[in-house]
Amino acid sequence: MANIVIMGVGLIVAALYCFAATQIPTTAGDPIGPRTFPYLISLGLLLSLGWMAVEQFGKRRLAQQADEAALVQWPKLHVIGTVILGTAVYYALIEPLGFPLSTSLYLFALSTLLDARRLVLNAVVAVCFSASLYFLFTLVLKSNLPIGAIFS
Amino acid sequence: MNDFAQILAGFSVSLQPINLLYTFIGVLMGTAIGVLPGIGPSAAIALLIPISYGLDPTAALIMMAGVYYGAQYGGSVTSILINTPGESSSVMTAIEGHQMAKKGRAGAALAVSAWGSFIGGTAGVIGLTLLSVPLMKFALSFGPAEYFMVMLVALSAVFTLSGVSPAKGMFATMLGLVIATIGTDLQTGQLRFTMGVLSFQDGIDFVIVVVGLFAVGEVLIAIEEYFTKKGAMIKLSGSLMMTREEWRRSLMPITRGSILGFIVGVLPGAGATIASLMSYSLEKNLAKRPEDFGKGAIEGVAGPETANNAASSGAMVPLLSLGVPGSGSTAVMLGAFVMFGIQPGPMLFATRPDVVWGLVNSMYVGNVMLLILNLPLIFLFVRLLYVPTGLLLPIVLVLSAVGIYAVNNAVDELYLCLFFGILGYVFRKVDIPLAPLVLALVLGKTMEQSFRQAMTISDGNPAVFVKSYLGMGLATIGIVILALTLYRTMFKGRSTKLGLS
Repeated sequence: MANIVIMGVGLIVAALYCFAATQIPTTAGDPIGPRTFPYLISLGLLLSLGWMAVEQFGKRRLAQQADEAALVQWPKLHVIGTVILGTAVYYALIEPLGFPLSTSLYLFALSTLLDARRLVLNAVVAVCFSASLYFLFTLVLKSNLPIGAIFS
Repeated sequence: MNDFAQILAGFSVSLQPINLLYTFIGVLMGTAIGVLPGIGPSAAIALLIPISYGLDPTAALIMMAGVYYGAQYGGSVTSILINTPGESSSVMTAIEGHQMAKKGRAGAALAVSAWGSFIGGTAGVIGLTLLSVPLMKFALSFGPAEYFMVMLVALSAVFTLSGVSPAKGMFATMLGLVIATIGTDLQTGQLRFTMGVLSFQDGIDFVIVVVGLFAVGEVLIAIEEYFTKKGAMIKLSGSLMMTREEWRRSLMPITRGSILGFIVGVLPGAGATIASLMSYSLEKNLAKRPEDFGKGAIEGVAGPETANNAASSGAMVPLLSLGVPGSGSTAVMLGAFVMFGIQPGPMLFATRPDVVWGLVNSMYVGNVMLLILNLPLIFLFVRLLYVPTGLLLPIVLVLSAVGIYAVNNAVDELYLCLFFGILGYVFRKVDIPLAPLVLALVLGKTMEQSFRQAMTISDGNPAVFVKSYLGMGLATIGIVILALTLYRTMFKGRSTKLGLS
């Protein structure tokens, strides 16, 4: 099943990419032009999908391969989804809240999601690590990280 | 200055106190990265790239190389003590190493890993020193057509050998090339595939892709495994000394592992993991008592651990002398070189011999440091296994975020990195290998340039690629690799990948 989805998505990517390649303006002075290489890549994409189809549907494929394809499992998708969503929210808060506060909150939330038994340790590590990282980047590496309205 | 004098002069660079310090930081981090689950050398080097912007290029590259080969040392610790390889190249070490640990010989298993890694690593650097000069001189005669063919064959070798399915490897390669074409066309100045996003005009930053795919993607996988897999750790006790008998049994596997590992490492596509697989298979076939394998045979630790280190040094040969990496982690190293405005390849030996030989010679020093870190001080690294994973994984995500954000202070780039992280997670789940994607991404622009230059010179005649003997030879190799892989796919399946498993 997973392989069929890959082939479907791959086909869409190949079609969109090839179409976008046809839209690139060409200039007179360049005999090869900016489209040729992308066309070759589109061809390569199609060939790889064809090869995948041979692997998937070929009569002589081993039963083991079918098992492998069927065995893709997503046992903790809700946790992974929460981590991804939480990370996206953290990125959105870096500038408004500042790096130290947003990072402390994110680290505490995520480490507690992974292990809720160590609340105090999680909180101490979250605050200390965020503060040290902020000072390392701003004072030592001279980067510009936002401090946020609360601390400014 | 002749080659020998340049090689010697490299020591004056690598032995400078500041470079020794960066070698030490690199190998220390490398060992730690090797020990820690959830982050590998590719991710670690990628995370170091944005942090190292302000450093001297030679020092930064010495440090990143230290992480790269140092991780091969640390990977064996988790293989032996918790039966979970810290790195993919330590998979074979887990088979015999963990059995040795169960029998109370964890110390000896770690010791033979450290000695094997040291001997293999050092032999690999000697091979690198000897082979890179003639290869570089040979590469000086390459025209754009030959360069294109070298890159094409390297990509084909990587996608056919990495992962379960060569078709998925090829798909990943093409996706890497797709990403590489996004941005302004270097020859005509036309915008391509930017989708109206202003920041895509300069192309998608390699660091964002690599940090996303390797660091964020790896953490997501590690979070999943954190909830689903639990390994019991065997406490490290007893001496780290090997008995005379254990030394006698390990000597030949280490010798064979050094040679085999180096050769496999130099060839594109194979790398440290396949070198260790081949070494294990070789030792098992040559063993006087093959029935001991699977029950804690020291030969099965000595050979693969030597081979993976020799291979990691061997993989630097094509990177430095041709500018064409043959694996995912050396592709990330190439990205680091390019970030500092240094293009590896034959010209680098003439223009910046200090960088080349400073880096290569630092690997001799680094291997000595690693032996010290991994023998008497290994107890300290074993303590790292007690760091709660629940804290470690969020920290890696924060490091990824700060590394990306600090470069341009752009939140958009963080979301792009997260997108590649999700892609990396999904690709790992569905067995699409990441190494070919990264390699294609790194080589994409150079490949297109070589292709267009060669086609322009030949007035659009594609025969230019097979006009020279070299081009013809490379085309033949490429066709043979593809034909053999296709034959295996259609008629034999892939279950006996390389005939090793």
